[in-house]
Amino acid sequence: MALTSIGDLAQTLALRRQQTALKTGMQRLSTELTTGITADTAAYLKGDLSSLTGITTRLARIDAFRIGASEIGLATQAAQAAVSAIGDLSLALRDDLLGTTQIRGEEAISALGADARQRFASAIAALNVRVGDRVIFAGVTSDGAATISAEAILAELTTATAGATTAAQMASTISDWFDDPAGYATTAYLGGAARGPVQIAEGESLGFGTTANDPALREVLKGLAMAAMLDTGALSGDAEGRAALALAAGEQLTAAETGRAYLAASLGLAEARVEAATTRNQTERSALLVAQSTLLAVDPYEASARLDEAETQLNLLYALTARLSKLSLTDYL
Amino acid sequence: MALSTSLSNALSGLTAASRAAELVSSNIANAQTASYGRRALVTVARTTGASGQGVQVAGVIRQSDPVLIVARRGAEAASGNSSTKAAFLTDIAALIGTAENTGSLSSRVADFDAALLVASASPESEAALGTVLSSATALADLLNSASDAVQAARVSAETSIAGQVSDLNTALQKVADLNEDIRQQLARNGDASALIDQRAQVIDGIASILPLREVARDDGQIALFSANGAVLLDGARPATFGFTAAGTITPDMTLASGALSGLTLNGLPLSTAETGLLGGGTLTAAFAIRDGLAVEAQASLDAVARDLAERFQGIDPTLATTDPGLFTDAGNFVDAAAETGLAQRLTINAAADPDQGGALWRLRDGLGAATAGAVGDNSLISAMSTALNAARDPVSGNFLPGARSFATLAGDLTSQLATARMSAESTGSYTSARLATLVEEEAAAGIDTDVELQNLLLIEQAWAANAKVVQTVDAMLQTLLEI
Repeated sequence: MALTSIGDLAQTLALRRQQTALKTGMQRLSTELTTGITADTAAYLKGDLSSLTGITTRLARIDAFRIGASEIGLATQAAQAAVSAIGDLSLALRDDLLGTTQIRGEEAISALGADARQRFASAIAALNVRVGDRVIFAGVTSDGAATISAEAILAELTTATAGATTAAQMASTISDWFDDPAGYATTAYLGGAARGPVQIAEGESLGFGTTANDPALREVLKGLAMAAMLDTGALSGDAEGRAALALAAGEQLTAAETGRAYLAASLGLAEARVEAATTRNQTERSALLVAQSTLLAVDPYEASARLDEAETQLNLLYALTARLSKLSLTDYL
Repeated sequence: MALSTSLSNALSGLTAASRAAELVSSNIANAQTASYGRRALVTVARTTGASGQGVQVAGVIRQSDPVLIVARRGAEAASGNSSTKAAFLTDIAALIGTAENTGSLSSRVADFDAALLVASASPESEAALGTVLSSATALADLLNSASDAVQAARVSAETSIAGQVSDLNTALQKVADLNEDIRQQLARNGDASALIDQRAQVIDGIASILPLREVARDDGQIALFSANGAVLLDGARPATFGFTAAGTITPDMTLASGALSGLTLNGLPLSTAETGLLGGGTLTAAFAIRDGLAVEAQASLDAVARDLAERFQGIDPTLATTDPGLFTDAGNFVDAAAETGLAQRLTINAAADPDQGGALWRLRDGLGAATAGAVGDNSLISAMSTALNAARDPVSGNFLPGARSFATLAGDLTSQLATARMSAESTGSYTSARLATLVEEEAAAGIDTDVELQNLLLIEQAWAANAKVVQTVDAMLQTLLEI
């Protein structure tokens, strides 16, 4: 069809289409400008969302690791405090006990026995320490106490050592009772198995496996119990025997100190690992946030320049529409 | 006498001019009407005896560009086709979302993963266990609602097909009737332009349903064919399309299973593939959604749901190997044989949900546990966390082979849907741009009021001249009579 005329509708349709396109573009640009990230993520990343998905997954995991690491950190710190408290209790007593070779007075030994009983009670209390609503040395059954009371243990020991007549017999019976799976582990220890490992960083998990049934802690308890038994009327009347028992207790505490120190050191190492993992997590988190914004972010300068351009074009289009609609032969007839 | 002949010539001129003015007024009145063909007057010199005297109106021509109209109708069908498909894919992709939006599939998977890690660090905490349950429920809920949306799209495609088929049948019958009316009008030497306009409008109404070809037949009639050759109207009786709509649609109902109806043309089954006889319009697009795109989307969702459920089956020591794990198929074991529609039925095991008579501690102690166990035991929760992140080959669905964690699988589903949406959108923008160009070209061939008014000026002049002739001849006759 030769163009001898151009229909009225043609111009209207063309202008309307261009107006819609410009307005849609402006809407998208203003959204991008205000949020700072692209409006259509999939199109911006050309349909490959795997890197973005990977980043968001890892960010969520790092936030979870932070909570796990802080739980483990708190438990380890409290355990450290308890173990070092037990250490202080035992070392101070040990010095006094080893000095009983010189002191033979019954009153002195009785006084030591009373002191030891109190220290034993403090040590048991330290083993039953709670962090939040958890008894940390009770293993998996952290809602209940870790051990029975100090007095109850001493009562058990009194029953167990009923037939012992010498200090050596007493010491070995007490030691056996603590090591016997049917003794301390069943009657005195109320907790469960050691807790499972917890993830504190990607690929790294840490377990808080120390319970009140830990061998190192039992060795210290043996020494404290032996000295505490002096106050329960053990070997009464046998002054030499009691002095020997006190000495044996002191030697036991000396021997136990190595193990306790190792335990404290390993808890310290665990604390250090938790701190290192936390720092690593924080660094990784910052890096991931930067990577995520690099993927999605829209340059604000460019976006605002394009928005200005679109605005100008739309204004021009409005002016054109007004001008063209006034051009009609009808007005001149 | 020569004078009376000149009078009759002038009168014929006045008739032609008034007829032309009538057409000009009709054109201007219909300047905004779609499918209106510009009317033009055809005049010839009148022949009386051996010489031509005066002017005769030979007829009215209705101007239209058939090639352009066919191209525009084809573009309408193509644009309708791609926009229908793009709308479906955009809907589903929007539900699944992209990773940086909270509430998207990837973000819910990440929340569930994080909840398991936190719960394994503090298994005593009711709050932590509660978060595991709520994030798992949110994940299952999203798969449920995405699957529901897919089936709802199938239902609306079904309704749309039924509506389009009835529109087609009605329109074809109307065109056949108009064909007959036009033939009769032309046989009476009348002006059939208005009827032709109406017929063009009816055909434009069904142009987006399927691409049509219009072929001229005798006596102003037309025949209609589909783009790839199916006869829709050729003669007195139009073809009839048949379709039976199903009331509700579930994932297992497909065309192949016989539960859903296909299309029939005059009682014979007709393929609804886009390479078939019907070509690509909104009708074939609706079938493509119901039988193709939606079925594929459902299969991908089901594959993801199955992968999720199977990861949690077999890790709980308190359950037998045939007991359902944390994610169940409406309470039952997730079976490979019952994968279709799994995404719609995926629910959390009631044993872990306090609202359904279960208890939160079962997440920690085992779904088959009779009583609560040690509160600090994180072994099962750690096993669940490991299972979620273990590299596992997807056993079904349209995924590339390769072991991957569940988060990666969910990300792959998101990417798949996003890519499909983007390609549908780009096809859509191409077809709609083409349609816009053709519509504008067609409008450019429409009524130009400036031209009509210019013609009116000429007609006015012609009228004035003819009237002057009448006046002058009348004066001459008066002079004669005064003798």
